[in-house]
Order: sequence, then structure tokens, then C-alpha cells
Amino acid sequence: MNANDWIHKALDELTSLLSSRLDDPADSWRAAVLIARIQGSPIGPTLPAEFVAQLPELLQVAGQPDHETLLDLLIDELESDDEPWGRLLDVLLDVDDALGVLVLAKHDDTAHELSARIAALMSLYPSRSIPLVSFAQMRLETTRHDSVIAKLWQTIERAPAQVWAEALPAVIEGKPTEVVLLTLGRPWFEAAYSKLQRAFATFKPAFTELCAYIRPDVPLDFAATLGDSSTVSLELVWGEIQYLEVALNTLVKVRGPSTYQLWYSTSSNSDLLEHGAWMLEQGDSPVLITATESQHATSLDEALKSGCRAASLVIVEANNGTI
Amino acid sequence: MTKSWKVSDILDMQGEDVQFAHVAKHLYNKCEHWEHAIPDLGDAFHKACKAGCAHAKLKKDYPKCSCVTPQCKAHVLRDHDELLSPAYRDALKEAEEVARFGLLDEDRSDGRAWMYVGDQGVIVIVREVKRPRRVEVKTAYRADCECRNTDPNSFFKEAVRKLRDKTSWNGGGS
Repeated sequence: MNANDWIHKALDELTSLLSSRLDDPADSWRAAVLIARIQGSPIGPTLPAEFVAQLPELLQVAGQPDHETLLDLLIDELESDDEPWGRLLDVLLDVDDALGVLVLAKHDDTAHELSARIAALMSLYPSRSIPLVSFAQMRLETTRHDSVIAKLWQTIERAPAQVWAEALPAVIEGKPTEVVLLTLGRPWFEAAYSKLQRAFATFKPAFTELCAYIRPDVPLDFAATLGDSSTVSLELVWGEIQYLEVALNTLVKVRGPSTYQLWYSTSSNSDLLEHGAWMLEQGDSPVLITATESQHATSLDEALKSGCRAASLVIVEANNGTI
Repeated sequence: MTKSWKVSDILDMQGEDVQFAHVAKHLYNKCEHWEHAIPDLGDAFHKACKAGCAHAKLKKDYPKCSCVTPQCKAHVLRDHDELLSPAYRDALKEAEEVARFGLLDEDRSDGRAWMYVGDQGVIVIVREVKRPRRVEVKTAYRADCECRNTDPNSFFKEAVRKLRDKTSWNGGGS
């Protein structure tokens, strides 16, 4: 829905309403609501002076909104799982209308208090708000960003981020933010990461003597000698998942004196890592490399279930916005 | 704002719980005054209670058919099929004839949603579902007016105002 069209519709409707005498208090209320919307809009249209002149009489007939009933209705709809574009959005629009009329009637303190209560209530139900983000974004274009009405719709606009933020502690605790963010939208990564976390809980972190050696722009057959001399290395730690950003076509090799097996996990597969090295190519990122202190496991799952120590490395393409 | 289907293609509300909840929350809600759209409605809530429905179970915030007796469930679902469904289907036809509908939600990942307003102020929201491909009624209710307001025109006006606020509809067929 186009924000300009939406707010200009308000003037069309207001013009039609005020072209005749208003006997119904609901019509006076609607006229006051439309005046509030147009006056509060940073993108126009301009309200004719003769319409503004009718405002005092309109407000007197329209009366004041019933805040407590609005809050009760909103709670009912937030706690239901009905179609959010139905009654829930209706109630939110009623709240929007109430806030607009309160400001018009110079009851700013009441408007601010109601707005704060509603925003606080909405923040408890972010999942119910997410489907309405597109409407919220449209409405925010038609109201000043510091208005009490904006506060309501900003809470809804932020709902997706809030849901993500609330999900993070349940997924991972005390882990690097970058790795945590990789789990979002990648069920395979979240599952693999959770599995590693559970396995890691059974032993204490310790240095592995395993290092990841990194060389950009070298072919995979260079893997045999990578580590003899390298520019960058990262020591793996049993019980930890390290994070590594590299450019495309970078070779990452894990080697060390201990007895271990190396595995890779991607969105499409999980298997033994040949040559102990991974060349990061377009579309690979992220890749999870895991070293397990095992010798004969036939799969990473088997190795982890055996209770042996494990260390992981997440390889992500640098600066690709993957996260 | 194009759609490749007609009102006659739209399926009823799907799922017993959805149907049950809508009858309990909306059809049986005296403040919605469904007698405007269903002239022989009478006191539908009272009839449901006489049929074995517990008052409290129907008045719960989230009425579910798994929480009531089989007799109550059958009665309420019959009220959906014989009362609520014809009312919202009539609303869909009336709205389509005069183009009193608009596109609500353009997010195709969930399926687009459309809002219709019938001549008696019954609001119906339908959504395109991807798999299997179909269009179904998601909710049907009457606008929120003051409970003591029994004027059918008030409900119609309020429904049309919500249609104008929530969609790109701009008055055709009002």
C-alpha cells in the first residue's frame, strides 16, 4: 500500500464527510481522526482552513476514547492466534485513532501515557506483530517520527529484531555474536551447532595442538605442505567453536601432532574432510570444520556420541553479508 | 491488485478449531449483532448452552472444540456450517458484486490476503495458501461498535472505514 495514496485518501474521505451535517457522533469522531492523521503527516496533504475551523465542534460531539476498553480489546487480540490483519489490526487502528484525537484535543499527557502502555504491551507479543510490519512501515511514513502514534508502529516495526534477540539466548550462550547470528535462518547450522554444544558440555576446554593454517589463492593440492610455512594460523581448542573469516579461494588446513579425525559440515553434506583442508569457494559459506579425538568413527555423529573431545572451526566468507 | 480467482473459488474456514473459535467468539457474541446478517438467528448462544455447551467453555478467551463435550462440539460446528458460513459467503458475494474489497497483505511468502465487506457489514478476510494452492477464509467478524449500538448502518460504516484504512480500496461500491 502506498503511503501517499493512504494519507491522501484521508482528505478525500474528510471532504466527503464534512460536505454534510454530522449528526452521528461516530461520524464526528471519524472526521476528528482524519484531521489528526492529516495534520500529523509529514508528507501532506494540506488541510483546508475551513476544516480546521470545525475541529472544536467535532471534538465536543466525538467525545473521548475509552482507554481501558481499548487495552482490554488489544490484549484479547494479542493473545489470540486469529488472522493478524483482522481484528488485531482493527484494534491497533482504533488505538492510532485514539492517540490522534487525544493530541488534537491537547491531552498530550494522556496520549503519551496511553502510547507508552500500548507499546509496552505490544513488546510482550512480538510474534503477533511481525505479520503487520509492512503496514507499520507504511503508517510510519505518514506520521512524524517523534509522535506518540509513531511509537506504537515503531514497536511493531522492531518486532522481528526483538524475536531474533529473544531467541538468541535460547540457542547459544556465551558464544561469539558472529557465530550466533549464523544460526538465524540456517536450521542445519543451528542443529549442528547445538549438537556440538551438547557434546562440548561433557569435557573441559583445552588446547588441542591442532592449528588451522590459512593461505589465500592457492590450489587444494597445496594442502600437503600448508602449515610448514604460513601467514596465519589459529589454534583449535577442545570444547570451543572458533570463528574464521576468509576470502574466497582461501585454503584452510587443519594439522597437528594429535590423533584425530576431521569432518566438514555444510548445508548439503557432512563427511570426513579430505586432506584435512577446505578451499572456500563461492556458495560454501558457512562451513563447519570439526576435529574429533577419534580414530575410526564413520561419521561425526558417531564420533561425538562416543564422548571423545572435539573442536570446531566455522569458516565464513569475509565481507559477504552472510551474517 | 490482480487475482486469478473468484469468490466462488474461496473455501470456507479450514479446521474445526478455527470454525469453533469463530462461532464462539463472534457469532455468539451479542455485541456483534449477527442478527443484522442472519435474520432468524435468535439467541444462538443460549441455544448452544441448551444443547449442552458449558457457558464458561464458550466464553473462554481461546475456545477450543477439544475442551467441550461431543454434543457441544457438534452443535457449534453445525452453527458454523448452517449460520456463520452462509453469512460470510453472502458477504463475499455482495462485496465482489460492487468491488467492495481490497488487497491487505502483499507478502507472498505467507500468501496474499484480501478483505471483503458485505452489505450487512460482515468483514471477511481471505488468504491465498500455497500448498496445496487454494484460497480460504481466514476470519469473519463484524466491526467493533459499542455493544448497545443496534443500528446496522453503524456496523456497515465502521467496516467500510476499516476497509479504507487497511487496504488500497478507495470507495468503489460504497
